Amino acid sequence: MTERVPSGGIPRTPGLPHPPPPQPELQEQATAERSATRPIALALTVSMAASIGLGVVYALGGQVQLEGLLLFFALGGIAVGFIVWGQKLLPQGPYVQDRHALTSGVADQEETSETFEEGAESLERRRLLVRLLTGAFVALGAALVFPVRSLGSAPGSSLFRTAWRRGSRVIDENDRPVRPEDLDVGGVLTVFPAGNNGSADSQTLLIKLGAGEYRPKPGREDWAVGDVVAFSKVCPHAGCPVGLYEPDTHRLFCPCHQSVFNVLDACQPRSGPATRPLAQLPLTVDRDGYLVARSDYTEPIGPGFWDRDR
Amino acid sequence: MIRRTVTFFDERLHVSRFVRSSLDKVFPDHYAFLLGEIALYCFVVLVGTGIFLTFFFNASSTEVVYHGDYHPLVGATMSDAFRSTLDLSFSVRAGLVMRQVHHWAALVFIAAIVAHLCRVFFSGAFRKPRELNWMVGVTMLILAIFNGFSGYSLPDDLLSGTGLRIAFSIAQSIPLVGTWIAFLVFGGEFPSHRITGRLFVTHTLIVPALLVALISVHLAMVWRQKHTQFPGDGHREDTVEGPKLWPTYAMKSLGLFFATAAVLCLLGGLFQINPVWLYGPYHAAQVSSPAQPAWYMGWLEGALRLMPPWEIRAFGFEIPNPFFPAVLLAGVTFLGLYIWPFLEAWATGDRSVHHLLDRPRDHPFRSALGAGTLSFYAVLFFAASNDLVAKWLKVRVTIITALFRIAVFAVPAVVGFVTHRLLRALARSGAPRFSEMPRQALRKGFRPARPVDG
Amino acid sequence: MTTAPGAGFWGAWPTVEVGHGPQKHVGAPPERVLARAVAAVAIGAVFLAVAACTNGEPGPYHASVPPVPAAQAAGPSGDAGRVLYLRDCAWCHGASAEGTPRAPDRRSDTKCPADVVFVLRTRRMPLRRPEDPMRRGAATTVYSAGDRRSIVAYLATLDQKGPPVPEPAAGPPGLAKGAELYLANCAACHSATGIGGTLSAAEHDPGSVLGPPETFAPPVTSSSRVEVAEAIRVGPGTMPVFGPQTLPADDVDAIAAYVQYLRNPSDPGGLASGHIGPVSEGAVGWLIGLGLLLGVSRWIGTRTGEEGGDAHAHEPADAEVDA
Repeated sequence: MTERVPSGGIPRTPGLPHPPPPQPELQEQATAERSATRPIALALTVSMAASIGLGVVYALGGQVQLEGLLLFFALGGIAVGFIVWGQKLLPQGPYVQDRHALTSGVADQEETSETFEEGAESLERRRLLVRLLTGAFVALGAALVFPVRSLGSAPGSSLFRTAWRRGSRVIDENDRPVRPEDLDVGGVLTVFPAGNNGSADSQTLLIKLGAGEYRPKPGREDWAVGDVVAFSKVCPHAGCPVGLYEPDTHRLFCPCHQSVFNVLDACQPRSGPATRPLAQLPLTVDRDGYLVARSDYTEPIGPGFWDRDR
Repeated sequence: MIRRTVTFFDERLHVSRFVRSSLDKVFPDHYAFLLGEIALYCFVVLVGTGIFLTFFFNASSTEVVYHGDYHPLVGATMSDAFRSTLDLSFSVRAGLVMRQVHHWAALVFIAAIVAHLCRVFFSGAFRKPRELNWMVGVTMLILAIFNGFSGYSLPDDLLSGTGLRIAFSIAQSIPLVGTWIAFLVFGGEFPSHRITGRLFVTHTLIVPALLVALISVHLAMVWRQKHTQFPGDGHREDTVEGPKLWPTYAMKSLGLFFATAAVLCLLGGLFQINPVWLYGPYHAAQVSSPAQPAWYMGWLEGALRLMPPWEIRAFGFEIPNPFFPAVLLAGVTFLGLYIWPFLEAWATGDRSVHHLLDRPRDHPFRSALGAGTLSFYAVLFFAASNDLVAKWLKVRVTIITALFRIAVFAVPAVVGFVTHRLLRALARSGAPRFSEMPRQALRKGFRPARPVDG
Repeated sequence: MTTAPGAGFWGAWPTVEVGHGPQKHVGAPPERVLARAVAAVAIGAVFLAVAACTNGEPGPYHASVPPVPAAQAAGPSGDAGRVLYLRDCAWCHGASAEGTPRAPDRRSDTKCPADVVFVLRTRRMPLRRPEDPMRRGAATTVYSAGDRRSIVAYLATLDQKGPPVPEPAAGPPGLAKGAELYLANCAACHSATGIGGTLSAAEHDPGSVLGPPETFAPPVTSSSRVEVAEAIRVGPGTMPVFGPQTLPADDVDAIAAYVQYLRNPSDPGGLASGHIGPVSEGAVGWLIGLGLLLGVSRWIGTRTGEEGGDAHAHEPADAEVDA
């Protein structure tokens, strides 16, 4: 391989064409050119017409399909024009160019390293200053990280609590309080604590089971009111609302990753990636017969996190 | 005229020789080398349509009541981000076509990147001296995927909001710092009112700026090192062949740009995409089924669906289930991509410079590994639609999921094995392509009847 | 390389000599590439059109027993409902609708009579076999409105207690309330676009008469206002029940009106590819978007062996050639 000129890498002899192909007959060449110019001209004319059409369509109020089609022809016409021109009317070569060796050679690399080291030498001698400089940068870097803390609140206990409290009245999406008899057997209703309609972590499902179907876990016997049970709607896998209730098999089905929860078994997961049951909300009724919560959920709702079992 | 321009700039910047060498520069124009350009031109379309969209979109979570042109939602409460998206779609002339072209361009952009990555991988173009460029490319893939996700999450509709909820849970699942990461990125507990604005700035400013910088570095390196070439046709390690940049290659490349823009506009006009008005505004207690993310997140979604209900709980701490298919898998995937050139160089001991490419048969093990890995992600990708597959085939979704769980291991193994055998046979036979390979070549001891040159 | 003509891997393919200079394989001319691209797009479009048109709903069976006009079957007492019931329903539900191991009791069922009307109107009943799932349009017999009323009237004499057949009003002037209610209560199973979704398909408890598991919640886009209202009140199949306390009549009207809108929703963006969402959009992006662009690349770029494009005849290099 020939020696290269120093950095810049500009080849001394730019493109070296192959031995030129045998010259086609002049008539052939003219025909070849004509047979290329016609499609190019057609394509560019179509493009112009389409662009004009675009203007008209826009002025008349616009229409999405027409806009898309006309853009297709306007841009596509130019594309065809360019491509056919490039393929038929321009020199294809192939031209050959040398690749200069990417390495500058060991000697050159040595020289560069030495240049760097020479300059750095004066720096290296002043050990204390270099150390202090390093320290200054590290400290500054650390200090500049602090504003990241302003980006959001600390997790704290947010994930351990919802807006439900002892005595929180149960309301539906229209802010109406709910009585246990408002649901039919096989019915389901999304509810929130009063004052927190739409709260993401407090969203709860009220489900009315059939008579005698409620099989409470130990300690949860009084968490249901008249066959009405309440569970968190937030999937413990990745947080999607578990919106699909299938009353005849008493299953809750999460549409995101297909976890299945058995309502009769305190929403224990039966299949899918969920590893924990849906948290259950203890219910009772207030003096007016409306459903209220006995307390907040007794465990963190939703997906897991590092210190959840704290 | 041209003379005057050249003189003007050269007298100020000393660029004449550089410009001349650039115009004379030779570019191989094999069709497989155009995939990266398709990605580049998709990016240009994205920036162009994106700028238009930023003039109308309002990245605000403030609740408003809608009074626009889409009648079914008049009177409904929604975030201003959603409202501005509806306005773009129904009230701004050319708004919907811009929005749709933008979204289609994002899908095709990442598809082209993946196709380009496969071409580079299977032809061994990532070998020395192009390892750096490979890593720049992988970085751009990650940025593109992130920007796609953040982009379609901007309208704050029911489908993308569900995706953000899942993203929050995935962040939260990281050991030790997960909850902090989730709360700091989102600005509080989900759904925070800050996330839309932050996604907007990241999506329209930070990531595009990074992409522009990386694309420049990527192209500069290709320019400097010159493009690789396939063996054959007299190509050698020490030369590069093809048309010159000016005028031929520039013409054809510009043609490809306009063709890319044309196809994207065709899609944007004829095929509806992301009809957020049908999904409705995001409310945290609502969800729609089926719920899938965009295709380039499909492998992660499939992994989330296929992962059995396992998690680690010890000493009062836990590593929740989503960590493994979403964080660990993603980390391993991209780490593997990054280090592959060095890993292969170490494994093969090959540290020489390569400007000539491999054909897949020249390195059957790499090709088989690549094909097997690709099929692994393909199975995960299809697994993200397990509920749709169950619906179409009228088979229980639990059965479909079980079948996919088997397939995710079986298919890559089979694909890798078969690929290896076929390519070894092809190389052994010396045939130019599969259609001309004799069946006997599949046998181990096969020797071609006539000795093969080269 | 190959020893005999036509001994290629896939069958009779022409042999190609190697090692004697570069191949003169020219590759596909641009017109052929373009034709192939157009064909690919056409096939893709056909595929998409088919996908867009199918919504997973099975078509109606043909009546296995041609319905005898009720007046003819009724006999002198004119009790058409009783005759139809005994002919078509009693073999599963019992002679007096008391239920059998094959089918539930229709007398004290809290869902009647709206449920009866619903399953008959949507042609889910009668089933061909007791173990068949209820699917819209799959019934063996199709009843006229008059026949339906007769059957319901007959069953009413057998002590029914459920919600009456609802009569939804034309609906409130705006659809927003219906949209909000639909998205909050229905979209999780039936999809925001109404195409229906997948269910858990759990096996029923042994001994139950509920039949095989339902694998999906059906699309709502074939349902009339009344059918929507009936389904909401009745909770047919595995659907939950939304009584008047949970969803008052106004809300049901609003939802029914929105579902009518979903039968023909606003699709200004173009072909909706079945309203499925990102899955079909990804397919279109890859098959049509990248597919077309790959075709364009094939057209623009060269192939190995045809260096120099079509403009000039290529003089082979004198270097060795890889086989």
